Amino acid sequence: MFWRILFDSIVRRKKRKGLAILAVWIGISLVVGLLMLSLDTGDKMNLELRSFGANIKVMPVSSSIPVTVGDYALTPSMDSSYLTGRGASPRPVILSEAKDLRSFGPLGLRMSRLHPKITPRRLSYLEESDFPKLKEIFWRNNIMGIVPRLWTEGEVNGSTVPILGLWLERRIPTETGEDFVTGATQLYKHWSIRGSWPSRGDERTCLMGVELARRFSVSLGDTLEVKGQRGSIRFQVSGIVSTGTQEDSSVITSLDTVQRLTGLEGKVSEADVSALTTPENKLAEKYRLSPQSLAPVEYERWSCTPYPENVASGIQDAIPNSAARVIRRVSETQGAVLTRIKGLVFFLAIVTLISCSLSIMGILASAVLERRPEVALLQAIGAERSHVLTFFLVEVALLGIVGGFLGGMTGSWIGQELVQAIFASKANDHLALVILSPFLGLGVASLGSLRPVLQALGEDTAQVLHGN
Amino acid sequence: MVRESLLENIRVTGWTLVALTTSAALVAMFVTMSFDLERKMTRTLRKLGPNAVASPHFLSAEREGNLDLWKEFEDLVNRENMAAAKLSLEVVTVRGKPIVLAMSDPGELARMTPYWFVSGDRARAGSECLVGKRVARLLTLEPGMSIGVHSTSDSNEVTHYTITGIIVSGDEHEDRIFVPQLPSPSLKPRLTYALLSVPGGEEGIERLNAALHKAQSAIEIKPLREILHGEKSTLEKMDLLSSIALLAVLVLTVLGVSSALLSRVVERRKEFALLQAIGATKRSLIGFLLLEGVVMGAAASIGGFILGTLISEIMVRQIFHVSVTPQVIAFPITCMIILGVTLLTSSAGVIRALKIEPALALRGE
Repeated sequence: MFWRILFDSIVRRKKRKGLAILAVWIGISLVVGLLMLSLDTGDKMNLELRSFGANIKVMPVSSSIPVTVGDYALTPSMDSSYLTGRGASPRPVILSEAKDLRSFGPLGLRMSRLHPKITPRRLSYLEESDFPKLKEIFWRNNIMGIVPRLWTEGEVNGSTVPILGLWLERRIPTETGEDFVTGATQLYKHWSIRGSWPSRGDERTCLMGVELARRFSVSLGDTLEVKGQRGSIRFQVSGIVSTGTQEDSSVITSLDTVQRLTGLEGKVSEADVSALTTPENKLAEKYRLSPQSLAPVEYERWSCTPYPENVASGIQDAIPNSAARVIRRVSETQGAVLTRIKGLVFFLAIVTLISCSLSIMGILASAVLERRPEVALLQAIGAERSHVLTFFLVEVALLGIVGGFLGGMTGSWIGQELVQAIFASKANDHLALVILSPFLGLGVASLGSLRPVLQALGEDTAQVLHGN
Repeated sequence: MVRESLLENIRVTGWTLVALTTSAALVAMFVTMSFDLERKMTRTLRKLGPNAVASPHFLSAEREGNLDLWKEFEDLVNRENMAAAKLSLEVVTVRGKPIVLAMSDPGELARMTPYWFVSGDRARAGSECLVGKRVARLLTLEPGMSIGVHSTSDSNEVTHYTITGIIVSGDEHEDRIFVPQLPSPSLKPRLTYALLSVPGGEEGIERLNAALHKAQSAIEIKPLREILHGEKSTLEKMDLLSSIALLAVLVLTVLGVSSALLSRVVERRKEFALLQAIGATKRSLIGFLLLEGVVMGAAASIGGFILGTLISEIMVRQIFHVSVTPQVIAFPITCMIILGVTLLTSSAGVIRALKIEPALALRGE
């Protein structure tokens, strides 16, 4: 009897039921879409934060401290006792005292790496061939970009200028079979380039730092000859680059070219690594202050979390003779941004869920209120309050489940489109959300109908049937 | 008449007002956030460190002893109320090793380098110093120790500093020793530069450079592009996210409010039928319903604006740990949107009301 009445009620008022399903459908679609976006935002924003540049710097282990002021560094060739500390009467010699002061370029924040003036052969180097190994370490999936760099010097128009060789674009095979594409074109998106990156495979194009270009009055498309220890190459300037740091006073081209020009095949002087990391929290701070204070469970959690220090440590272990340093200016900024954005998105999701639930409840409430005479009639012919309540709630629950199911389907599509539109990347699969959406529809519809049904049940049957 | 009608149907009026006020609160919240969030995020980012570096065009000017070289720059920093830290570098020797000594005001330095992890305390007094991690490791230095800093000038003076902390920064600062003042007042630093936190991104830096150029200053400000680019990209994504959420909330609002307003009409079928029966024209009925909508919309806008600002306050306080700046502009925008939605959805109610047959409705059919 109950089910027959229910079936008749649903079949008889198709339009009204259709509208209720539509309301739940639209509402749940938006909720699922926005929840998908919210769930993806953390990961996607973390990827977006690569625009802050590399967050880990890999350098050769050194037994001496670089002494650099502006573009200039202490030269060991003039008094090597200062690097060993065995000098009887220390008095360091600064190159800036000996050279034309007007050759100083503008200063970047990382002044120590502006221009290694120390004779290249005396420097420590890292092996270029070690860097692809970073895609095999424990944190391989967190490594998003690698750019090995070789700083050296060459001669342009009779003046000594810094030359930077780097991976422009490199494909590293991974265990999944897909190539990992990395290089300066991927990692240095913040570089402002007038013109274009040097062509891949073309050894005769280069970028020129904006300050150097100004100094030599070089424009786009001009050619210039760069002399190195092993010969010279005539480059065509494909772009003028402005970074705000030491690259502004350098000639920049592919790593292979610079290695050949200087006879440093297979060598790099440093590398920038961009890694997906988790902002440091209390656990990381606790470890930093006193590693021994961590309980075994905490230590396990700490060691399996990609804190910047952990990832840097993994990198350092993989590259022989290297020291990987977390660039805290970048990692702290990324951490702060990520924490706030996650908070914001969580809040947006909650607000959207509340507003959506309120709207659906409002729509269903008005639908139930319109059926007050029906409630009164059922009571008048002897139906108990609990039966009427169950009848309406089951009907609404069925509508909610159907609307929620449809909403789950379309919401998933909306979420994917939103993620694609905002982050230009594919959304992650959130099957749980799609499975949960009929239940979400059920919950919202039931909650929305409960109050008006109870209200209708509380009214005077005779008055309602009289149309008052 | 409108007032009486609203009070007469207090239950349905209440429900409609709740729906409208909720919507108005959400709209006010999103508008407040869209104006304030970017500012708060920018302010947060600006507190995380510098986004520009200022230095002389050529060091020659400084080395020639031009004492006023930084005057225009300092005036500008004061005028613009910007955060900046000037650092003067000199090479000294410690335990026989050459080290770069950086002199900077401790307060200014702390503001510009919040990302440093300092094991110990920051230096405050003139005889205290901070030591970079690499320097500390190579010279086996620890907080509390005293170091003798040898000048590299002909006088070869020695100044003693107490180490208050070890810096971990991941950049060149780990290779330096930071002191509040240079060992000897007569010592002329080899190089001075400044770290700055410039509001307004690249445009802000361009504006400052133009001001310095106009004042014929030898100082040039250069943007740290990775920071600026990252900030810009982050703010763009946040704007997009907020806009999408606002759009979704607006769609849901229209749905919710329209159903509430339609149920008002359904509940009051007899009332409208009676009005028509005693001679009310369709025009007056339309005017009456729309006016009712406007009154409720206006009341909901006021309540919603207050509620929305409160929600924004809670949210901003939770996320950014600062108070929200109430946006007066959010009120007219909320009013416009809510009144627009009310009129739009009232129109659906009007159509429904006009379809009511007075005789049938009064008979209760």
